[in-house]
Amino acid sequence: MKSAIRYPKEYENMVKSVKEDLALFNTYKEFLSFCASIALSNDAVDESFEDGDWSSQPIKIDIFNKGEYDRSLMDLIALHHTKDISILNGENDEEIFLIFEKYVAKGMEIFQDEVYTANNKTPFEDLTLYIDRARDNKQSNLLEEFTNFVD
Amino acid sequence: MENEKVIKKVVEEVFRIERKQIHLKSINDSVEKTMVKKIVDLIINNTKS
Amino acid sequence: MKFTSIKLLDFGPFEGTEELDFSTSLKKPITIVHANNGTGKTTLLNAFLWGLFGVYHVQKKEIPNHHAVSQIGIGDVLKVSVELKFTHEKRKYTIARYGNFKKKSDIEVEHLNDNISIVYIDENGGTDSPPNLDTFIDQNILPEALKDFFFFHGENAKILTLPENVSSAIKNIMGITLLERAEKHLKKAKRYFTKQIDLNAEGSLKEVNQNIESIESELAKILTLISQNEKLISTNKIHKTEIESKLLDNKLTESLQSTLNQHQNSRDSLLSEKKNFELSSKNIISTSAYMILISKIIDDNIVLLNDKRKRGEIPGKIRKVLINDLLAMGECICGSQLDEKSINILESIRDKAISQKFENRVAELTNQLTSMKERGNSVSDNLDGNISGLIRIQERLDSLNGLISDIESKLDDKEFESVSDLRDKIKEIEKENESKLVENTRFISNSNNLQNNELKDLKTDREKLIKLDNRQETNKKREDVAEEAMVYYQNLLEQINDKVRSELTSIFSETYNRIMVSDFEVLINHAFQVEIKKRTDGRVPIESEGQKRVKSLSFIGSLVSLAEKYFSSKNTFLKGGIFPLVIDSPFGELDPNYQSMISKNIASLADQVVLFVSPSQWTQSVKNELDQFVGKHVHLKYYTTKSKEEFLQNNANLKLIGDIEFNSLREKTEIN
Repeated sequence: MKSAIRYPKEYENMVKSVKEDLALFNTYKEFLSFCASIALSNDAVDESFEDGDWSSQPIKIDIFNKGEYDRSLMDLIALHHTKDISILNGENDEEIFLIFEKYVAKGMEIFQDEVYTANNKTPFEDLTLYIDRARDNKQSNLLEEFTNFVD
Repeated sequence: MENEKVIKKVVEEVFRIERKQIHLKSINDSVEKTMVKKIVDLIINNTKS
Repeated sequence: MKFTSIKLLDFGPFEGTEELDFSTSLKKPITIVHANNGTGKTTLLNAFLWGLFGVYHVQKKEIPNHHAVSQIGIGDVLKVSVELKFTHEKRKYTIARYGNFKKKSDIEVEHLNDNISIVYIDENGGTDSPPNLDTFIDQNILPEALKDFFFFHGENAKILTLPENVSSAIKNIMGITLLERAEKHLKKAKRYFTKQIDLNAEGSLKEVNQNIESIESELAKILTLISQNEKLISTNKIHKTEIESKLLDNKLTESLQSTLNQHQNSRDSLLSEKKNFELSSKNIISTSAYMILISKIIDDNIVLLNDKRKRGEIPGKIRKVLINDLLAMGECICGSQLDEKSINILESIRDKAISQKFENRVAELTNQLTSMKERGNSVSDNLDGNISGLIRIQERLDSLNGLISDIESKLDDKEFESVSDLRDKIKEIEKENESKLVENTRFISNSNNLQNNELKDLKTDREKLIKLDNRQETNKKREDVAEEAMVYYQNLLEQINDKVRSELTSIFSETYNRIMVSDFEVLINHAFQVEIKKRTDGRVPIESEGQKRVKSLSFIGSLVSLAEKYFSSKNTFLKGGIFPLVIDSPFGELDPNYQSMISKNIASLADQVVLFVSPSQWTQSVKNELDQFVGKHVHLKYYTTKSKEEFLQNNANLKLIGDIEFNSLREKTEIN
């Protein structure tokens, strides 16, 4: 039974730096969840990471269990990815974790490209602005939903 | 007076003597000696009693 | 002197024969040579100096073209040459200088010798060659002592306004050397006659002569001391005015400093405000910002799950437990017995039916998603507040930083010294000047004493004694003639020096103020120092790089102008001449303001101007100012063995590149 969420070795330094030096996230788990959400919001996932080089410091699933919404996030991602509600039937948790890992990996890639290397002089601002930009996209969709609803 | 004419002549001749050698960037001792001698002779020639 | 063309043979990076023609038009006197830094500009400048005067400004081993050297055998001699064609005083000259270099090994060359050939065509069409080749150019075309005024690198121009260079320039260009020599030689001639008198003197006359000689030598010493003191006093005065300007600036400086401190305090408090913003939102961003990113997907799935509930998929209308019970009982809800077919149907429904756990999980997920959505919205609001706050703070920080850096650079310029230090310096200077003045007064009175009393008496005695001796009279007469002629030249020199200085000052002032668009009082004083003062309050401005450049270029331009004026007037004593200007990087290291000022005026500095510019100096604004005066554009094309990436690596500051061909077989420069 899977006990930890892995992420690619190539992002090890970034993960450490984001928590320790730049102090953008309080815990590793929160950063991983954020990255998975980046991938989810971009509908992007890296299927090929099965054989990749994993970091030697994966995050224990227990830690995710203790979080308020973290397991729900994983469920959400799995549901969105498989488009099959039966993924939640309790017998597929292993696969949920594996799917989560893929989204984490892809999300880290995007984070590295768009937030981390942007300008490490003002990391917090960069992160804030990234979230702000992402949010604006959503808002325009909200509008669509309104208009659709009205129609 | 006579004197003034002599001086004027000397002034002009000295000018010509200098002009001939003006191409030299600097004048070494022997060249200078020659030139001064020319001037001395010039004055002597113009002040014969 | 006006250049028509330059031809190089295996010179520096120029392989084989390369030729360049210059613009000789009066309306468009400028020739621009476009070249990147490091591709041959300095060598080309050196080609002029080497061709004319045999002067090396680069290492001798850099002169022979590397490729040409590689093509000959060890022990063979390579001939390198520069040929200059120019017009001067109605003659067309072709000067060629040849350098012979022996190849000692694959990397070593030895310079053997140079020789020069000078040929000219005079106004009648006749060809001739002057007798003294070695000194002809220096004497008849362009004085070598002035070469640095007419061929130079923009960034070195400022040394040209040092007093020794100024005075030497004036002397050389005006042919004053001749007059100085005349004075010196007449002095020696006079001494000859004095000696004659001495030789024939007997007894008292000899004694008197000796006394006269010793007093005169003492007088000479005193005069030297007086003049040294005067020079020092004058330099001190200039220095004092500079310090006084600084003092005045210092009051401003103090207030600038306090404003700076205020700004820095504001900045510190803004930075701490920014930190607080960050801290307050860090937590919420860390835990929940992701909910904003995926809010649409959350919405979609809430809809999805509700949909499934509507359709009865969750919670299932049919429970697994119920079906198991029914199967166990072998009975349907309606009570009828289960046959094989019904059992199969029931089993398949059971398999599709969701378990309690599953149902709970889904229900929880739906609740959580709804919760996340709400949380996402509140994070979003918090983010709004955060962003607008940060933007506001950043704007204020940006403008503060601008103000701070402005003030800091002003303060840096002023070489901030404390007010009391500066006042002490002034007192020191005043004290020194005071003491030198006192000293000079003493010297002058000594010298007057000697002259008016002792010397005068001695000379009267001498006259008497000479008169007593007829033989001495002639020598005396000759001594007098030499003296008079010498005094004539002395006066002439003084008058000319004054006149040239004053004319130069006036042209220099006009040129300088025209370029700077200002109204400074500019003068070249007796000690040949350039003094620049503000007319309104007499303050000496502390010069920026740009101002120094303008000062030197104005000075050179005025020299050229004055030389031309005297040349045209065909004055007996003042040679003058028409000279061109060849400047490497006239705009280097200058801010756009000064670049513009100089480019507006550079065409008017001489009848012919050749400028070497790199692509980064050939800005649009420089181009706009100069284009109407440019008669010819020339491009140096550089071939390098490096690739573009390699080349840029070593030239990180190269924002613009002109004509360069990368990945070439070997390095060389071509003239296009």
